[in-house]
Amino acid sequence: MSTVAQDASHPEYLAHHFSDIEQQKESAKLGMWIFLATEILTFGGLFCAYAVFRAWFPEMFHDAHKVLDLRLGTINTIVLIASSFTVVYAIYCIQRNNRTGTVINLALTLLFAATFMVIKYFEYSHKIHVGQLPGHFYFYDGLEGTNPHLFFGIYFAMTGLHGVHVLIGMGLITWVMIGTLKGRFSSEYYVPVEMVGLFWHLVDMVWIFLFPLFYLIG
Amino acid sequence: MSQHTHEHHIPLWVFVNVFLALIVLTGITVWVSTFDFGPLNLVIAMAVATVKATLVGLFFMHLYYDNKMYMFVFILGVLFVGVFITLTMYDTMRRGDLDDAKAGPIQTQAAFYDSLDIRAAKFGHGDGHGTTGEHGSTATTEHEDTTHAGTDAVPHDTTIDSTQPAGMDSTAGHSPEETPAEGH
Repeated sequence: MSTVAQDASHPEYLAHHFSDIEQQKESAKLGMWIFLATEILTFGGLFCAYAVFRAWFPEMFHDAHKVLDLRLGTINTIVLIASSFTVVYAIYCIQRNNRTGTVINLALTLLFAATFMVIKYFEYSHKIHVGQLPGHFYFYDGLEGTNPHLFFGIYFAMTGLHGVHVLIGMGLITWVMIGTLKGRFSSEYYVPVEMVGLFWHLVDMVWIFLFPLFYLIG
Repeated sequence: MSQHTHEHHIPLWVFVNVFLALIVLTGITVWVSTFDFGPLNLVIAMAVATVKATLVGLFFMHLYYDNKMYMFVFILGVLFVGVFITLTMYDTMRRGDLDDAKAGPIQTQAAFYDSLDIRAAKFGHGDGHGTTGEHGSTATTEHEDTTHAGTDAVPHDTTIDSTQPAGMDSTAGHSPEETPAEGH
């Protein structure tokens, strides 16, 4: 058994039910993409809620979106794009066996993700303070339109679910960063790094749609 | 073996260019949003967002270089979200074709706007609600000190109140014909 595991054609990181690394990698990627498709469906339900209520209350959505801070939203968009780039750079480095580069880029990604969450925290706490909240928690009196609490309900549900994804992504990035530091990954085997990268890009992709829908056009 | 693992070595300038394109597109979409194109606002913003998401998918997520099976799986997910939203909105937007009364939401204004919390926040805590003098605020004030018990409210009001869970505002149970009078 151990002789098989140490065999050069069947290295330790190759699970015994795969015939080679390429097959293992392709399977992992297909599984990951199917998972990402289910993520799209999860967010899809919320996008549907947004579409329905926006169509019913277009003026209210337009008025309510003006209370969001466009400056903070734009900064967060750029921060997330930058974090996506550093993840790509980290994978680029691990493909060339540059573990230091990988760890530095993953650390930068974590920094950007934390920046995103801190900005989100300031946005949320301001909204909670002035009462721009969902449902009967709503007590803001600066909006005249019909049912502005609906806008904030959808806002908190969508950015909240997205924020949870950012937090999960931060955990996953920490995990592959520790794995890289321990020397688990190399140019021969970096499937977990790549899969976490895919997840992180999906989080970025969702934000690419949330940003205009809430901050730009409401 | 080693040829396989090196097949996806995409030069760094590809990613740098995509990154720069994403930043520029973000700038464009923010800049464009300062103008009003009416209904086209949504179309423009979504078009830019779709281009950005496509760039992320094709290059950052390697879909352009990888087995096209992954792209198929992903597009299938997006397609079904499209079906979901289209069919739902076909329902919610076309209800008026059958019955004018159902064209929009059945109740246009949420009932909780008449609750004490909203009024207190909107009209101030300290001035004893005297400024408004509306039915909604007086009813809820009485409810608060629990001496309500139908002393001056109409019996039908009390019946609804008794079905409310403790702590919930009494006006949430008001019949719909009372609420539109108190617009905001």
